[in-house]
Amino acid sequence: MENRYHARASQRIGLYVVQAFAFFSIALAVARGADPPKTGYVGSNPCKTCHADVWFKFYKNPHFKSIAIGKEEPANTGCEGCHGPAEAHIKAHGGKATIIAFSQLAAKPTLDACLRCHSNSLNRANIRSSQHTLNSVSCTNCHSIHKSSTPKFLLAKSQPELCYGCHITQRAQFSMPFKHRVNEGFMKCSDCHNPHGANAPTWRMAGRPSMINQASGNEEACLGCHIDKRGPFAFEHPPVRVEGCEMCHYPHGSTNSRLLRRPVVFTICLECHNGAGTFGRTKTGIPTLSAAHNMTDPRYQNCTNCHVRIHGSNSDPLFLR
Amino acid sequence: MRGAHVTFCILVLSSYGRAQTPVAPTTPDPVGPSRGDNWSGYNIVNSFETGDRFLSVSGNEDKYRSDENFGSGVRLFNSFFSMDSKNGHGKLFDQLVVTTNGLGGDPYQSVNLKVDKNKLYRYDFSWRKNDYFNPGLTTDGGAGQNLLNTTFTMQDHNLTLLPQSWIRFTLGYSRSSQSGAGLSAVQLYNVSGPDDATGNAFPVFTNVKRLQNDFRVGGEVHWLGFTLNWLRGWQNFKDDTPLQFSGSETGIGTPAGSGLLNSFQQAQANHGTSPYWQVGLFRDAHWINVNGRFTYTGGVRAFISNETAFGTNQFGALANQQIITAGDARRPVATGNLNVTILPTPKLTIASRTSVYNVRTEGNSAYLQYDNATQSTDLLYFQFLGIRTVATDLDAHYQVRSWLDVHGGYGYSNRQIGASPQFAFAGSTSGAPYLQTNTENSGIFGFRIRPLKGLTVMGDGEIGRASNPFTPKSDQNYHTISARIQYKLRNLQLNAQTKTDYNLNSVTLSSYSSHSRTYSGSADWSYKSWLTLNGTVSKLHLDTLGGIAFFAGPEFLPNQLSYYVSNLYSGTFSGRISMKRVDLFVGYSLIQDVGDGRNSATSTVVGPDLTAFQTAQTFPLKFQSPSARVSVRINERIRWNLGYQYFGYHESFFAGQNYLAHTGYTSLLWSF
Repeated sequence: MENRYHARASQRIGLYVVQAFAFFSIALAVARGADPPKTGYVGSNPCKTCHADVWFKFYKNPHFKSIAIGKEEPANTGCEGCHGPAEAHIKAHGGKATIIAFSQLAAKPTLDACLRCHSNSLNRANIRSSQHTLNSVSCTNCHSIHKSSTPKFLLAKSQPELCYGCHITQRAQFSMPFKHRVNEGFMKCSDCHNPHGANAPTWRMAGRPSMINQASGNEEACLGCHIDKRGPFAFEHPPVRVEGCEMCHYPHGSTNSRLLRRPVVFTICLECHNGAGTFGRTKTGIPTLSAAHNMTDPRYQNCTNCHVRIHGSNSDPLFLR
Repeated sequence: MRGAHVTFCILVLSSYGRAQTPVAPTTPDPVGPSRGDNWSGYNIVNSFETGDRFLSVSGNEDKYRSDENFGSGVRLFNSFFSMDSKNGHGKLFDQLVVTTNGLGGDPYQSVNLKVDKNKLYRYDFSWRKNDYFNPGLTTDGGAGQNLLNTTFTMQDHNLTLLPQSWIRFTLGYSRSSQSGAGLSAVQLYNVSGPDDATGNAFPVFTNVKRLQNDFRVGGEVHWLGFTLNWLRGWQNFKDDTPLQFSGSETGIGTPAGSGLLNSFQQAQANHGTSPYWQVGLFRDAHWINVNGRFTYTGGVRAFISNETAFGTNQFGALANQQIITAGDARRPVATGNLNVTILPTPKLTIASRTSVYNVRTEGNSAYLQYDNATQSTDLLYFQFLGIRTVATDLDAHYQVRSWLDVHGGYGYSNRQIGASPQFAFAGSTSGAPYLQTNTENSGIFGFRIRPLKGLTVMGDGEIGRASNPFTPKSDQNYHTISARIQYKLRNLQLNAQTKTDYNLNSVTLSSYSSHSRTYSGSADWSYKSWLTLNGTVSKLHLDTLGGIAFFAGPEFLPNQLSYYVSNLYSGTFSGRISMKRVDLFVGYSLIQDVGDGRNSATSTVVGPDLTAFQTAQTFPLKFQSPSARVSVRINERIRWNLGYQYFGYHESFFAGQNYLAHTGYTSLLWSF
């Protein structure tokens, strides 16, 4: 019965999304983006006179592509593509009041300016509602268009330094004895997180997205690398799928060499396997240990010594093989 | 103009050196002409850092390998190579960038390549390799038996065709593999099947062989202001990890240590595929942003294993045992998302996010066990776990004044879980189906004030209630409060933040509560571009109280408490001085957990009066790492570097894992 119920639910999901999207499409069909001014463009050549330091290395900038094409509208290419028409700026012999100077812009107009070209990517589809945007962290807080120090994405600093600038606690977590190798350069924050906003997670209670990438379109980011934990398994450890990896693990760093939330294994297991309440998949409490487990014996204090397939097993509902 | 480039290089330098570990490689110290070299319409910049790393470890080297794993030997620490077309009309490509890290033996190695041709294609490639060593450490000599000494290798290829066109196509391929030696465990001599606890556990060797290939094809169309994105992918996975043992090994079990294993072999194949697809349709306009997404990920794994064991069972009888398992598992996941952001005025943002996801896990496993006592057990299992969740939230952000923003929101989630544990489908009695629903309501609120130029003060809070949490540790009655102060003034940046996160999950027989409080502060300061200082301090407090039940010998203790306390202090400091030819860097990192303040493993604590629990309730340790590096510019194209880093790990209650490690390197950073 459950099979049929969930199969129908899958179909309904698609139907709801299509219906809702059709409604908003009508509103969007008449909505227009922010149009740039029509006049006052002079091209990029005059800019070289005063801003030679920028122009000198601009051919290495991804934005140089619009100039190299040579066929773009003035409003979409070169310096004026981002900074707006420069005629007034030249007549005034410079000044930040006569041109779009991003150092003077608030977060929202900065985002508007960049999204004129950069809104057409699914990875940035949620940027307007991302926690970064809602907290006034805009593009130029992380990206340095003319003084980038990274070979990709024009980042102002390389990861993770860029992220540590605000996320101080995460710096402490990645300094733990055991951690994902971010400081070592093996991983980047953006391997697991989408700084431009993410969809709701498919674990825990969904809810507000915490800017986490999803592997294979809709699965927890951890499974992108930890391929053996993904399954599916004939016998899944339910909290892995229901609550996600963070139920037992700290993803950034831990004092435990398996990134567990406790220094030893058995306390983390016993905190759930206490038989209390209406918890667990049977609503009768999560089963306690059998009489064979004498917890005064160190051999039973390392649960995963025997329960080696704790994330899921194809042979054993107790995850022993 | 040249001065501007020197300034740029120093700015780049000043941003480096604060992540603390590792002390090598030295880059991005610049070497070579800052303008690069011109050749055939391209500008070329390249640099290589090569040298020798040394290591000396005293104490538990396995623990050091688990934590850091840097070794000795010659390395290509780092390299950078770029070719940029000066007019944007290169013959085959306009830009080519190659970077490498740690090649030649470091435990963390990577290669990145980026090639693109304007309007035609963009290709990104990355390759990473991680030597992963994990001794399965446990406290107090608990004989962790799941050792891993393996290598992870990952590579990603992404090709975008017509990247600037109204229609573009993407092709991708990723490959992940894990291989190497390991030590695992297997449960043998069970009398009546896999869920029988009478067996013994034996350590066995394993040769890990896992591989996953992921193929992707997709595209994007921009039309009438809308963007339609689609992606189709196939993941193929196989795990052919065998287990084996030959010799004489005493088992772990009841009665303790009575079983004996003389020979064991297990061959297994676990192969499957996970096809997935994703469709997204979205539009960003001046006052409204809307995007919808629908994804489906399938998943099928077919498996079979054959194992044989010879030895003496826990009752003293000679035993040979053969177990064959075979079956398959399936897990389709479907999601739908609809996110709408409306900006009716420049000061007001309203964001709504709705998501639905549906997961079904099902499969069967045939378990056949034969032994020489004429017993034959034939069990067929089928298990179903289904999850359906609907979640929506609505937030409003309003700029009251130019210096004051406020926001608030409401979230609702409803999750239904259906389970049929151990449902036997081959004529046996069915397991009872269980259905449960959890509803969570939450609210958020917050403000942001900018009283002075460069100064921002933020406060946020969230409160939530869940009706039927899945585990004792899940969110039930929770609230979080956080505050942050940030000050920026030219070369000075100060940050301070605090966050509390409390959760109470109470039931009749047991209660669980978790109190987390973090306090952090950081300061960055640079002076005239040649002096950079950075420091951070953090305190992470966590205390959790949970009800536990367990056997102590033959006695069952059902109403015990587990009270875990961690008070973890963290500090990092780094300083960098750039002089005419010499660049000096010093750093220090400290992690110290003072636990609940005890200075001995056993004491009077909340919870069971058992040594094992008292030891586990707090975990005082100290992990520190000072480092220093000097880099000298020999000439325009060569720098010489010398660095040293110390790692000291000390656990207060168990000395067996402590270690001291001296690491260092000397290298030349050069361009040609």
